[in-house]
Amino acid sequence: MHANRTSREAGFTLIEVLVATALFVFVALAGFEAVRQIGWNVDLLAQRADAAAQLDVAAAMLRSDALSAVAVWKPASTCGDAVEFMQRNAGGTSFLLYVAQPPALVRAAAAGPMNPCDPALQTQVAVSPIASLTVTAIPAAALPAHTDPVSGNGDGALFNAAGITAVAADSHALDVDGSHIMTGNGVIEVSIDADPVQTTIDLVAGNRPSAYTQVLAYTCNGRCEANAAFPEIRNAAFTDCAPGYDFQNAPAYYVPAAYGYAGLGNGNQRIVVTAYSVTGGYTFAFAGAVPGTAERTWPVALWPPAGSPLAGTIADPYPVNYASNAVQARGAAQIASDLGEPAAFSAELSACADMHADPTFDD
Amino acid sequence: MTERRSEAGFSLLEVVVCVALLVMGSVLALALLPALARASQAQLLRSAATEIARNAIERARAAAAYYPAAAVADPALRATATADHAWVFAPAANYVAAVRVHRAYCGSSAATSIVSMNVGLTYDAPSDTLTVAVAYPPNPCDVAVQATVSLAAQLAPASYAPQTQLPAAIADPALQ
Repeated sequence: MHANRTSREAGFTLIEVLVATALFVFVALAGFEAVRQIGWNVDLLAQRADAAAQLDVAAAMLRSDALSAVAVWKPASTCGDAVEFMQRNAGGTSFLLYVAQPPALVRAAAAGPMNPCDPALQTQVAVSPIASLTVTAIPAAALPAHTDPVSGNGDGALFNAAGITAVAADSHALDVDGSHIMTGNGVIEVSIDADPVQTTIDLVAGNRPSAYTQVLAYTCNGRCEANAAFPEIRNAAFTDCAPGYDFQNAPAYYVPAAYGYAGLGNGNQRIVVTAYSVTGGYTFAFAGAVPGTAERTWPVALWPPAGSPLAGTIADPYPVNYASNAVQARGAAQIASDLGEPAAFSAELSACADMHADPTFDD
Repeated sequence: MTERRSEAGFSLLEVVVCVALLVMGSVLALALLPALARASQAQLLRSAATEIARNAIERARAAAAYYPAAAVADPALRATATADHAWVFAPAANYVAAVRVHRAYCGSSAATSIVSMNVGLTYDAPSDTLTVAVAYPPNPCDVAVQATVSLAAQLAPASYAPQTQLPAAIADPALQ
């Protein structure tokens, strides 16, 4: 029979089986815990990768939108923080809004300023999911006192505070609450908390200041110029503008590159207002004492008007359409006040009037 | 009868050796996971450090956007101011920024860690260049080991202060 089996053929003893089973159980328990950790780590890695990638995308979108924006601001909102951009390009003016619609950060676009709480917003998801969105407006003058939003450490030692010119009051349009949209060189700090990581993105309008400028220029003709070489240029805020836009009384940044014209006929003054953008044109209106209200869309193709270094490239140096009365501008007294030079303005008008009253000058 | 060798089964030694090999292999594989997690964390922190550097440059860009009014009024000062942005920047500055990381690899799985990062800024007036170096710990479990993200930006020319009459000698920025 099997009496002569060798030890190799004899099978395991009970002790051997118990030892092997104990080893197996020990390894299995350790393996189970390891596998549980693997699952947790894999899940965490995936979440980290997703969150980091989405935040990178969101940061790129925000920075890109800011780079092509003429204004970046924190809009009025009763449903959480938001950040909004105003852009101008050859296609006209457009607005972009980022707002948290839990669990996502969404982006909306429209032709005018948007209400972040409007349920009818047409949105697309920029980042999902996020835990929170925090937006803080930092005026340029406050940058030397700025602190890191997480560490709380002051980071302004780089700046010589006295050298910073803050431009806060540059109102291009009205926000949804009717307040002026203030731009300039302030910083909008956007913090996105997207578990398991949080990021902060500082945004500054990239097209400031040259892509969005407005000008009020007036001048007399060469003969009636009172105190400067022709054409004399003035800068000012001037007028109410088309619905949804507001140029009123903004002590803003103006580039005096557009030339105005004061045709002084019959003792009246004609104020020519020119507003422009290097990337597009504006529709706006004005009224001088004569001949009434005017409106003109100033496409970039017609820029610059006569008197500029590129003069002669347009057929009509003062392409004003008097057909529309969409907007009323201010009177001469208000314009003089806006100019900040009422005395010089009055003196010039007076000098012009005197010249025109003089029969030796031929109008 | 005599059983064939192939029917004899494994000895305890063979089984133990196999289990040992299996355990060693598993341990090696598991050992890679923390490294993978740390790599992910390092990438995440590097991305955060990059954002901190970009933010510093953006704030510098905002601060240097406009000449001080005095520079517009004073031709001599204006000539100096057009050369660089030394009127608004110190040559060097340092501060500590931080990033908030939920469920950090170190400590409790539910912990939120604040990972601090030293930020060094240097402004070189001759080249009008701002350099930002952000030191970050690739492994937040070992903050003694630091890596650095460095960004440099040449600043755009400053614009004119608001509501100032442009000096004739300065070209209109809108026409450039």
